[in-house]
Amino acid sequence: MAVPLRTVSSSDAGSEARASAARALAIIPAWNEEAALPGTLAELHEVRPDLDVLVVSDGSTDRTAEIGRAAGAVVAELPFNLGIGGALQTGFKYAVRHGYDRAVQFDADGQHDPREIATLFRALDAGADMVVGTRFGDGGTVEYRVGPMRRGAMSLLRFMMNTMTHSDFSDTSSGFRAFDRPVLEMFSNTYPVEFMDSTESLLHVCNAGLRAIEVPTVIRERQAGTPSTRHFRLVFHYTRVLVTMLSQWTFRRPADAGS
Amino acid sequence: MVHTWPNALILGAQKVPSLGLSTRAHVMVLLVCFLGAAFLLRLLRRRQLRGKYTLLWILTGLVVLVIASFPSAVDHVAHTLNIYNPPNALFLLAIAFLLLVCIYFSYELSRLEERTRLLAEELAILRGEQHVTAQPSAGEAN
Repeated sequence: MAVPLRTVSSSDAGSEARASAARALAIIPAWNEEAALPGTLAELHEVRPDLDVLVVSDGSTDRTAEIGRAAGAVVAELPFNLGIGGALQTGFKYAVRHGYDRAVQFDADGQHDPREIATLFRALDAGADMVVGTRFGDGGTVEYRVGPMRRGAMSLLRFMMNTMTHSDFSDTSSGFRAFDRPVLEMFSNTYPVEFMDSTESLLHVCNAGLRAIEVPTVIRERQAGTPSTRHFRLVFHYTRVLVTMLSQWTFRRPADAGS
Repeated sequence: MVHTWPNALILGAQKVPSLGLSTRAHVMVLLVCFLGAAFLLRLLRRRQLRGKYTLLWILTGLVVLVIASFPSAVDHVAHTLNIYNPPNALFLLAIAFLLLVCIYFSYELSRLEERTRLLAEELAILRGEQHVTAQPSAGEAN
């Protein structure tokens, strides 16, 4: 269901009204992000002052939590590092308990452009339950600066994903995503907590019969920090995700298949 | 000398066991079993080991004890399983048992990790909410 929803945009008044009434939360998982966080929060507040912001400090040992509070965000401090999945689930729980209608997952390191949040929310207005903002280059194709091995593993995962969910995702690993209430409720109860959570969680949403779509977004180069883990660990994680995905195989057709 | 000891000293052995345990080996096995059991009971007394795990390992020790005392039992089992070499039957069963225990432990570990994670998440949310409620009340202080 890779529909470029920029063109769809909310034309009917009903969804426009729903969008303006919706309470939205930005969930920012942050692990020792004191360098990038001030800029990210400032820009986010400037562009989207309507959003409440939750920074989940994932066992940070630096000033991440202080910086978040100083910027006016609510900071959920995990006592030790849980990894991105646990940090996100903390955010989902907070969102559900505080009655938010929708949430957007936003990177602390400045990869995501807050102006693109509108793109994701428009897709929610158009009826999606979960929106993945994928990285599109100038040529309209997904463009990652990764080695051939990782590229191969990523396309294998994508192939499995699309086969299992009867869909057409171009990228399953993006961390720029928006969720509506039903998905938030589901994720607050169960969320894949190991590395590469985004792929697994996409599968959960599809298997639950909820509608997940992707929209093209501009994603910037990361400002600081090192991109991910070493090769042998990646092999382990990709294999693990493959096995986990296979264990989730369902013969039920997703609700949006063929639509 | 081991070889001159009367057969009766070999606990319960009616014939020369095909597992070929010497008397000294028997004594060693007995000693290890008793020491192990004592260690486990000590852990249990100090509440450093849950009762169910103490029981698991003490029962395991008992089985080892029985096998050491009546090595011919292994022969019977091997014969029933159509395994030519009795020690192989022993290894097969022992490895299968330990594998099952390991899988059980992986299950327990996953459950514990899950619970620890949930607790951490709850704590983080509470901390976040605490700051939010603390801020306005500080401003409105009378």
